[in-house]
Amino acid sequence: MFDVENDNNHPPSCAPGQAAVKPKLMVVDDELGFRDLVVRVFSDDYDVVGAANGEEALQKAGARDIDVVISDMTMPKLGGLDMLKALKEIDPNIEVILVTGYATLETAVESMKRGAYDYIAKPFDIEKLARLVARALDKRRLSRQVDELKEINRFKSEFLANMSHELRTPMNAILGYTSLHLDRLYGEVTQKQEDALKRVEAAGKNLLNLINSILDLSKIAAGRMPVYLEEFQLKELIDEVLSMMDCLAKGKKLNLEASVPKDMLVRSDKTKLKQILINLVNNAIKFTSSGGVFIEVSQSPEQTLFNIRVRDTGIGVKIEDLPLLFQEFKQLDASPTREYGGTGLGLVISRKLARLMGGDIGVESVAEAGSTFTVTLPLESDLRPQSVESVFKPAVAGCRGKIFLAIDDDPEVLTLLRDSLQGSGYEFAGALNAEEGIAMARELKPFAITLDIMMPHKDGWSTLQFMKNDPELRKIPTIILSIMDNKTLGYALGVTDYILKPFERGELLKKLKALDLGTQVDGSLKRTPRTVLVIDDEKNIAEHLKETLGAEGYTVENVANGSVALTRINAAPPDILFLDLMPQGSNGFEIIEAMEKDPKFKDTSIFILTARHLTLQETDYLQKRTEAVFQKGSKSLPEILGQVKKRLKELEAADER
Amino acid sequence: MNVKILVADDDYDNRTIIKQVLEAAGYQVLEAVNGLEAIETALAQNPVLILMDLSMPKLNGWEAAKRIKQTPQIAGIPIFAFTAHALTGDEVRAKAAGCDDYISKPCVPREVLKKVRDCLMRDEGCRPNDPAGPPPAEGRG
Repeated sequence: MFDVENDNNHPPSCAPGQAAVKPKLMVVDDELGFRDLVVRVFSDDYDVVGAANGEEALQKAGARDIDVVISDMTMPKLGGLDMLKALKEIDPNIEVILVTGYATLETAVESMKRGAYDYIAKPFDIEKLARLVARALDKRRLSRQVDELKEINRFKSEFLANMSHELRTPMNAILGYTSLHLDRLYGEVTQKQEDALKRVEAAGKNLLNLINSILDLSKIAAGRMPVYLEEFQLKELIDEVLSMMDCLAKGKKLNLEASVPKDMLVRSDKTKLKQILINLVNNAIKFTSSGGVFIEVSQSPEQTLFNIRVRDTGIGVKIEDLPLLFQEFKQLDASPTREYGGTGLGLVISRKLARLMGGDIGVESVAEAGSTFTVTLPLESDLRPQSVESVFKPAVAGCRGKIFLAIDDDPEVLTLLRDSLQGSGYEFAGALNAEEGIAMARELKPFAITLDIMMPHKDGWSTLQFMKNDPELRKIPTIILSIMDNKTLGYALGVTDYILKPFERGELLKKLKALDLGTQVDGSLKRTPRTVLVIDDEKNIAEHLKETLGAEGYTVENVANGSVALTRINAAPPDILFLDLMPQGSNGFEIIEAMEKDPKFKDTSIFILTARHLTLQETDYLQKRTEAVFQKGSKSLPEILGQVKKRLKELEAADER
Repeated sequence: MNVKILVADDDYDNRTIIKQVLEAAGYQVLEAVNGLEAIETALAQNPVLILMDLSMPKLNGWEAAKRIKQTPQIAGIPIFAFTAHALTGDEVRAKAAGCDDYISKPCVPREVLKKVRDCLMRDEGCRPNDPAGPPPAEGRG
């Protein structure tokens, strides 16, 4: 087991038996001084290796199993960015922290794009670097474990799929001989014998269903479920399903009806579609006690997809349970399953089969009123991934509510988001890549977008930059939804919010609702007015903050004259104070000291801006009392904005708690 | 009673269950435990129907079915394949190999019997001891 809850200041404790092995850290910098510093600080907890340039680093990384790299950006021979790319090719799980003298947004974006864990700007606090290294190491360990688990999971599925024949063969004997007994092939049986044999038969059939379900899941997971496409009349298939299920429906006095166009030729996997429909109809009958089950078929306006809706008037599903419906081995309240029987795997398998065929299954339900399951499949299945993509796209014409767009390369995430939005009144649209996402954003004009960071081709950062430079798209509030925690960069690039995966449905809905309400009133966001006070005789920072934060509902005020600064601060303590160390007519240190003595400022976060070089003592003093110190000119405006916004978000999050 | 049906399966239980239910219904059952034996028995005894498991040693069912359908003397004999349950695609492959129908395993003996009877009633040419032999292969496979 690994220790997840380490305090991030030290490397996580190792598993017993590996205790002696220190994690390997490599520091790459052409300055010997910096290498020595890192060796001094880290060698207690890490096995530290130094390299003077990118080429040397690559050689050493190839020979040793390096865990984390701290590297300078500008070096002779091979620079930080190119080295980063090469390192990732040697070991995709290696984590690299880049140290920059001039952190421009462009280099930051570029380094994150190439897979850096994070970047840190000089001058920095060594404690901060230590925390970053420890977190990077955690991430590496987790990624390695994920890789191992994936492999083990594949082996498991492979094994189960191989067991198929072996597991089913004995069932053949059990069910077969029981059946011969029941058919009186071996002579008359007594009533008691017959009852017992019937129980053997029923239990055998249940076990067989379970085995089949588990094997199906394993085969799908192991990628061993081939799709056989053939052309057939949909009506014929549905009629077959109806005749199979008719008896069951009649037994419960339910209507079982279908309305299917007479001539509708589709190209799909008939066996799998039949299994899906049998499953859905069987479920519908199982959970309905009066009324009936209705099958309806329709085509998408573009004639590329068809929908089969299986609607019932049964017990329905509670909204909060909808996302759980399709999760493996996660049954809803166990009681109905026990009451109604079944393995609870049918829906999971059905959805996976639908996806294999290039489609999907969705559900809408009202508790106590009934459920509707909709199978969507391409009419002419050629199994191109595009057909899956379009499944996540709502028909614009039929849209009832506001559209929310999610961009994520993982269809599972899109599905989870879509299911999470059930009952929220928002219409869902999903895009599996940046290009499609941008096109959908233009077409559908969503009220909000969530964006994943790690996507192939064009990643989230580039997508964000593109959208924020587009006059039409820049106004749409964008939330980053990622496992990567880099809020500063996100806010700097103009995102409205940042949600870490795994996300909670409640959190997402709350944030969407806030965006929705905010934009309805005045086109900008409505929130508790947070105040930012900038004390600086140069106007550009204040203006930049005003322009961006003001649009999001924050109050930004500028005081150019230091002598009135204290009076202004005392009158209404701001949430964030942006302070030039040497404003006209005052001294920044005096202002800080005055504020420190007064408890009413304990909640004010201070950011320092300075043009002059600070002494070690001054740096130390400021680090203890302020959020961050920005050297004028060393950081770009968006980055400063990013940090301020991150702090504002933290304050809001604290409010909500 | 001389209506001969060949049951080819390496699994003793499946063979026995099918054999017992068919014999109880009055058919004569021939047995084979692999694909090669199935072909030899079919050639030697000219059964009216072959029930064949797909995964058998020496020569599997798909291959055996293909060869039977390529051998003129026995090409007309209908072949029912025992397939693993529906989703695995066995039935599609079975049909591609020339099988006429399939029975999914584990099977219910009385349903197998029904299928056999339906086939033999439908297929007038499958009468036992027909001196003309089974009908020509057209229309099948």
